Amino acid sequence: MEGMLIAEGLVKRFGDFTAVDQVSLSVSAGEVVGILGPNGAGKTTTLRMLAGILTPTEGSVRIDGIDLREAPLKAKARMGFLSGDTQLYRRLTPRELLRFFGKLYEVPEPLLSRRVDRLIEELDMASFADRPCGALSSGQKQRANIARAFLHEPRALILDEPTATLDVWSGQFIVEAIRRERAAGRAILFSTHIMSEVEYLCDRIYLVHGGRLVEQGRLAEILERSGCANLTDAFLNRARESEAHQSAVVHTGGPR
Amino acid sequence: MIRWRLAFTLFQKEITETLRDRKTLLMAVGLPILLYPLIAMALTKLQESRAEAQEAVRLKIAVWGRLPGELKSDLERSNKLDLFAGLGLEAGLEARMLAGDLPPIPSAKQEDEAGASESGRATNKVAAAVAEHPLIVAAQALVGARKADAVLVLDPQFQSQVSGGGLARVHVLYDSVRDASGKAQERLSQALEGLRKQEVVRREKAHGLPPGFSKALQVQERNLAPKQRRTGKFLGSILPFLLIVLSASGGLYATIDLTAGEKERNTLQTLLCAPLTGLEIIVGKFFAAWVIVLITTLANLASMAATFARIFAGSGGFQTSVSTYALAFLVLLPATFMLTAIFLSIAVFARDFKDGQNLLTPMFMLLTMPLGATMLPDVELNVWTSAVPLVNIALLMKGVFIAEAKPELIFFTLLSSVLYAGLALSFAARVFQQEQVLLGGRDSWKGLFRFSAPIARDRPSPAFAWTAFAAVFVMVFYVSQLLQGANTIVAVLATQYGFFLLPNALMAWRWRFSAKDTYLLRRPALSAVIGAILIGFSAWGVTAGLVTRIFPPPESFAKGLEKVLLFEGMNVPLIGVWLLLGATPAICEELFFRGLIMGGFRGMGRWPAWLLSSLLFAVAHSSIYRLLPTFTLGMIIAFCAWRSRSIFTGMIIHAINNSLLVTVLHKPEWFKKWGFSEMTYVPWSWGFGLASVMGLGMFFVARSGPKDPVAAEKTRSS
Repeated sequence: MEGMLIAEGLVKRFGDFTAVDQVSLSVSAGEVVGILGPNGAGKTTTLRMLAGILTPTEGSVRIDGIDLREAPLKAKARMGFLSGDTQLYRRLTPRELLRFFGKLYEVPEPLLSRRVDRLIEELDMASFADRPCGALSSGQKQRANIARAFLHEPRALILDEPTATLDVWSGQFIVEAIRRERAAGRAILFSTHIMSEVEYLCDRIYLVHGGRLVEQGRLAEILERSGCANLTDAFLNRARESEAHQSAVVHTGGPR
Repeated sequence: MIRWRLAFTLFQKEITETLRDRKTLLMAVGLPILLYPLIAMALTKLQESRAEAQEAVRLKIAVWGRLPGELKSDLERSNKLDLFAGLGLEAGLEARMLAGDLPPIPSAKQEDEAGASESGRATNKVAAAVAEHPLIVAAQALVGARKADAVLVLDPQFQSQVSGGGLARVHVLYDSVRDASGKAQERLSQALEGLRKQEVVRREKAHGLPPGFSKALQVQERNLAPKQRRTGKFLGSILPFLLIVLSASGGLYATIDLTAGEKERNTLQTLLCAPLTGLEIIVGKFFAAWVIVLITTLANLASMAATFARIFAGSGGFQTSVSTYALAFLVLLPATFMLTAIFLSIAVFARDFKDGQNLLTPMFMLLTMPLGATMLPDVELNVWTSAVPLVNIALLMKGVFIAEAKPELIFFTLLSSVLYAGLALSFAARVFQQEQVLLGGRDSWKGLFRFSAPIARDRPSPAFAWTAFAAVFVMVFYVSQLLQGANTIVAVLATQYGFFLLPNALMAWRWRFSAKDTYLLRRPALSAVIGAILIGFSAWGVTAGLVTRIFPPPESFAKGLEKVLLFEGMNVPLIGVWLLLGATPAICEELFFRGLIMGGFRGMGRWPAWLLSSLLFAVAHSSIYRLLPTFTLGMIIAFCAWRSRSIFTGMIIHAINNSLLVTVLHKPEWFKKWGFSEMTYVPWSWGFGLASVMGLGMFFVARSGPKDPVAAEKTRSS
């Protein structure tokens, strides 16, 4: 497998429960890859393992060729993570927050100031950059959050439902920002429930169900294989098939 | 207008939800129901047992002056008092006293009258007469050194006054700050009052006088404790408890906010995916919480000092200085450090703020409840209590307030507190590495205490080294107290083999630490052996000769150590002495300090590894006076073992150094011509000469290996 972000045979168990089972995926530079699945399918656990927040029970993750387990600090420095439910420090302003994370990622000082100013301008944050984050709207918070994830110019971006809590306008703003990052050559892994975003943004798609990868490919390939007219129907069909297969395995005890 | 029906519906929902939270219910109802009977029971039991013990104890009274034999036996028989004639009174002073050459000791009444006259000069004159009176000065020294609990001073004419029917005067000198002394004063006063009544009855009968006509005996009580100590006793009984509890409460909310609060606000995962280690996160959070605790502590101390200054200034008796409060703050540092680390490690388990309060409140109670015992009057800092977490700090503060803290006990208290604080921080760092705990799970308690998984490598981690040292130190500390009655040979063998070598071997076996990598069990190069021999014969010139000049131990300490090293007079052949005091520590201590401990700190770099292992080596010798020389020797040995990559280099230095020093003690006649016995210090010329030989030895050792063997090994293996 080749790519900027590579996962091989990821497994995550919590006691007896297997949340993710043998998931392998890759994202190349300049590519946006979508990861879709119903609630509880294992998407967030997979993304958290890729981001180094959770340690895989089995399998490995490589970011820009660096093994996350062997050199976690180097690997994390090349990766940006953002999720829909990530919040900001209420008593810091977006500018202070960006400077704080810039220091954690060891961005040298003259460069840090330039990047903070540039991101504030690009993401249209000037009007609220010096107000406490606790006083911002959801859309403003998510812009500050995305600036935080972009600040150290990571090679790979992992975005877990970044538009889930936003209105259409704010969501669109984030989507456009992601497109710009793709144009800048970043590898982007993106999970969402909004099918239109997937159709608009993603070069390839992984479909996850019950902790396993059940489908993957380009949008056109998936539609062709499923015989459906749109991604929503294809997604639902594949999910039902996977559920039926799992029920059969449960009832018959599986292959012997 | 309030719609009460709706408000009541809302109230019903809130109370139902709250009461269904079992933890809240437990905290609101269960804990108070259980807590107060428990506290009352524990404190009452403690007080009862101490009161019984105090009642049973016989008190030591110095009697200055001629006490008639029958009075002596009366006093001794009925009041558990042991009387010692002339104890602590110099012959010259006694002669002056008996000859009536000394001015009378001013009575408390005279002092009060001088104070009431509002003339500063009169007050100062009486106060100075009391403070400078030779008998008061001598009594203060005697009672302060705890050689007597009180002093009974009889007027020179005491005997003639008693037999001649006059007024016989006695002074009871005691120190109200010392509980035993207060008790002694109480018993003496009671006994003297009994004697006075007997004498009055006898005289009245003899002269046919009506009852109550004569006075017979005047007892004047004089408190030897200056006002500063008396105020200190009052403050010392309540302030340590208050200060620790209030400082801890500041840390309670800070630690919950920094951990559970961050989880609740969903901001923690941004830190977890940043290029930071768990230790860096915990250290950053820890210091933030500690600063808050220190600010709380400072605010409490400043407010207390100002308030008490005002209260006592009004009554004219406030004597506690700013430096006492500053010292109390310094003493509180390790306690606040430990509390913050414990709170942080517990708070991180909480899913949200409320959960954090539910977890930390019982822990807070558990930690602070034993402090209640420190408020009891006769609970004092001693060798045993100096190792009890938090209680030792409270008792040390009590000692600071009454200006009665011994250097050895301060050393033990601060040392054990720093050790506990380090352990608590290691535990907090370990908790922070549990991803399920960080993400709100609870299923990893087992993982926290499972050491095998994270230490699946051939040498220990720094946290492991620290924990191993703390465990061994506490064992050695308490067992050495228990072995105080035993002879030196048993104590040395038990400590060295039982507490340094055996646990070390068990740990090496259990966690499979590498013999070469951790314990440096390699044959040394010839130049390292030559260097080690040179250092072994010369290092004492630097440690004992030069370093002890900077921080000379008191005579009593040197004599005590000498007594132990001479096996308290037992006849042990020299070869036995070398084996026991030279070879045994060289093997057991080197494998522990330059093996396990330095091996654990090795990953931090050579300087931290040398400094920390030497510091712990010095600390393990349990004496503030041996700290600097032992640390210096530890640094020399650490350098040599590191550079030569062999523990045997260290063992040679340690064995020769110890053997040489004990030989000087056991065979003084061999060294007579060098005039060792007449030396107070090793002369400078000797010191510098020996330092030069040691330098040559270190040069030989340094030549035997690369500058940084760890880096060299890495290069070779890659």
